[in-house]
Amino acid sequence: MKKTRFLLLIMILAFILIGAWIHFNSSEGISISLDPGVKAKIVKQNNTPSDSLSDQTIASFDTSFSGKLKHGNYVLITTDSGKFQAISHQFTMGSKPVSLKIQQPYSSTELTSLLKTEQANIDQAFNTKYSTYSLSYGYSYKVQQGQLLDRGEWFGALLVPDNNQYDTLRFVMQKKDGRWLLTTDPPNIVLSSIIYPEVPKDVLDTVNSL
Amino acid sequence: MMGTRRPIKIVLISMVVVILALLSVLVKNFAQHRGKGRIDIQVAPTDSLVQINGKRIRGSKQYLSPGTYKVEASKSGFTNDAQTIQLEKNQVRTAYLSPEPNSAEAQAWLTSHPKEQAKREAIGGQKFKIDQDYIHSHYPLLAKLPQEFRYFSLSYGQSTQYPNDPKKIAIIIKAFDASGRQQALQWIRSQGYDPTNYLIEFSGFYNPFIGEPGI
Repeated sequence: MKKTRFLLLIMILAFILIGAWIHFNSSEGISISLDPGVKAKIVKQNNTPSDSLSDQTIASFDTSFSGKLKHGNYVLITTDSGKFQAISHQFTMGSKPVSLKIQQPYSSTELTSLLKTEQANIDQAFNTKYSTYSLSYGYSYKVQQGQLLDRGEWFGALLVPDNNQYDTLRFVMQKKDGRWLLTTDPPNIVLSSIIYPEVPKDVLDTVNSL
Repeated sequence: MMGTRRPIKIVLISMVVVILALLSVLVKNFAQHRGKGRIDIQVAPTDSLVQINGKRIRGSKQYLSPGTYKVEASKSGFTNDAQTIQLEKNQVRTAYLSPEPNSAEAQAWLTSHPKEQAKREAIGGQKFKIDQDYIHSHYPLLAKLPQEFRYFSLSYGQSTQYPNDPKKIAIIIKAFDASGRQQALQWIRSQGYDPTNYLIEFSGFYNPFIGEPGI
C-alpha cells in the first residue's frame, strides 16, 4: 500500500515537472516582414543591460523571417539601410503565433531627397489653402523649416510671421491619393494629439519641437 | 449492521453527486468565461432598455470577448445615456448609465419613485468620480496647476472646443504676448510634460487662420 502511494506521488511529481518543462520550452511560430532589402536581427530580452543584447542574438535575416521562438520577450533590431531609419521593436512570444509587419520610417537623407520632388506640390497645395483664409491687415507669414516625416506622406512646417510680435504657428499636411491636404486646420501655436488623433504622435512631436 | 451501512452509502453517493454537479457547474462557468472580460451594468431607472453594440441585453453582468463596446440605456421620456468601454481579457469594467429626464412626465415619474432618483444620484456620483480619475491619470499636469508668473499664467477648465465632453480638459494659458505664450509652453516642458498630449487654449491669442474661409 505504502509503495503504491509512493509510486503515485512520484508519478504526480513527474507529470508536474514534465508539464512545467513543456510550458517553459514550448515555442510558437513567428513571421516577420520588413521593407525589401532591410537587414535585422532578433535578440532575446532578459532584463539585462541593453549593451549585452548583442550576445543573445537568436536570428539574423534579410527582408523576412519565419520560424519558431520560445516563450519570452524579444527585440527586433533593424539596421540603417540608407533608405530607412534603424528601429528597435519589442515583442512577446506567448501561447499564440506572432505575425509582424514592420514599416520603418524613411531616413532623413531619403526624406530630404524626397522633399525636393514634393516641395512644389506642397507649396502649391498650401498656397491654395492659404488663399482661402482672410487674414487681417498686417498678418503675413512665411513657411519655414518644412520637412517630410515618417515615410514621406506627412509634411510639417512653421508659419513664421513677418511681424515678430505675432506668434509662430505650426501645421501638418498629409499626402492622400496623390494630393497634399492641410490636416491641422487651422495652423496653431501647438498641435495637440487630442485634437488630431489621426496624425501620428511622432509627427506632431517633431513639428511642435521645430 | 446492514441497516446502518446503507444510509452511509446513500449519503456518500449523494455527496459525490453534489460534488460532481458543483464541479461541472464550475467547469462550465470557467469554459464559458475563459478569455473574456466582464461588464457590470449599473443603470437607473432600472427598467431602462440596455443595449450593447445595439443588441438588447438582460442581466447586470455581461461576459464578453476583449474589444470596444458601446453600452447604452434608453427609456421613453429620457435622453439616452451611453458609455464606451474598452474591455480586456479577465477585466471587470462597470458601465454607469443614468438617462436624463427630458419631459415633465419623466420628471414626475422620478418624483414618484424616490428609490430610482436616489440610485440615479449614486450613479451620477460614480460617473463624476470616474471622470475625475480619468482626467487626473490622463492629464497629470493638472496636479501642478494653477500657476501664476509675471508674464503668463496657467490654469485649466472645460475645453471650449469640446464643451459637452467632460473628459476634454484644456490647459488655459494667459499671456500678454507671443513671448509669454512661448515661456508658458517652455514651463510645461520644464516640468517634464509634453504639450502635444494636452489641449491647450491660449486666452487673449488671436489666431488669424480661424474664421470663415474665403471671406
